[in-house]
Amino acid sequence: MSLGPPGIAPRSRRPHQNGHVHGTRAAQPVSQAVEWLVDTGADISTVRSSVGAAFDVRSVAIRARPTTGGGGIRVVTGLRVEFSVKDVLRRVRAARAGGYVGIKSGNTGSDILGVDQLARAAATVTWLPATRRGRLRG
Amino acid sequence: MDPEELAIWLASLVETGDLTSPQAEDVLEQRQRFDERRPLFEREMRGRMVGFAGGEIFVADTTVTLLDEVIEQFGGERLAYFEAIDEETAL
Repeated sequence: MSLGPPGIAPRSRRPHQNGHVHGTRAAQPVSQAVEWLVDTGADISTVRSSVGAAFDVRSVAIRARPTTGGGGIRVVTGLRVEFSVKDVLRRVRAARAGGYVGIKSGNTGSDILGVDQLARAAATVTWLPATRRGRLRG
Repeated sequence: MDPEELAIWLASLVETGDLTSPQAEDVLEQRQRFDERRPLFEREMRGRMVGFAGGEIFVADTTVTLLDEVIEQFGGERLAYFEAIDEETAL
């Protein structure tokens, strides 16, 4: 499915795509809409604090940047990230992947689609920065 | 996030019910263990994920591998504190 610049910054050369995060709250299904930054330099997907706050999750780890003012993430289970991929027959389908997901300590920056969830969905990333066009295939 | 900033953030997670007080204290203890060995990690483990859980050190190439090992060891009962050594990307 198509990748492109973020809606808020159409001149950006970083790949984005609209998607969702799914989970539960008080045993009821809950979803949050997000705009993913597809980041092949990120081990796991990570969402902003306000997105993560909508779900009941299980914490498994804390990760931080060591320097003063650096960010932190709480790594959790219980979330599934959703993004769109185009298959070999050019059909668009929603891909969902669980695993470890990070929740940022704050609300700055992007919601990040990382390589673990891309791998779980067997997705490949094509991105042409010069034209700001790309695709997720799976 | 220096230790004081980490403590403040963990306290806020306790306040919101996202962590228990013992979990927050445990994470701070693991961070202290990490800081005590930080020069060694920065010298010997560049590009790797390094963490502590339950007083034990874990080293892996990826976040997933490291956390799988922690969960295998502790059955999800202990939280890990970990960092990417010399990570280039922003959190």
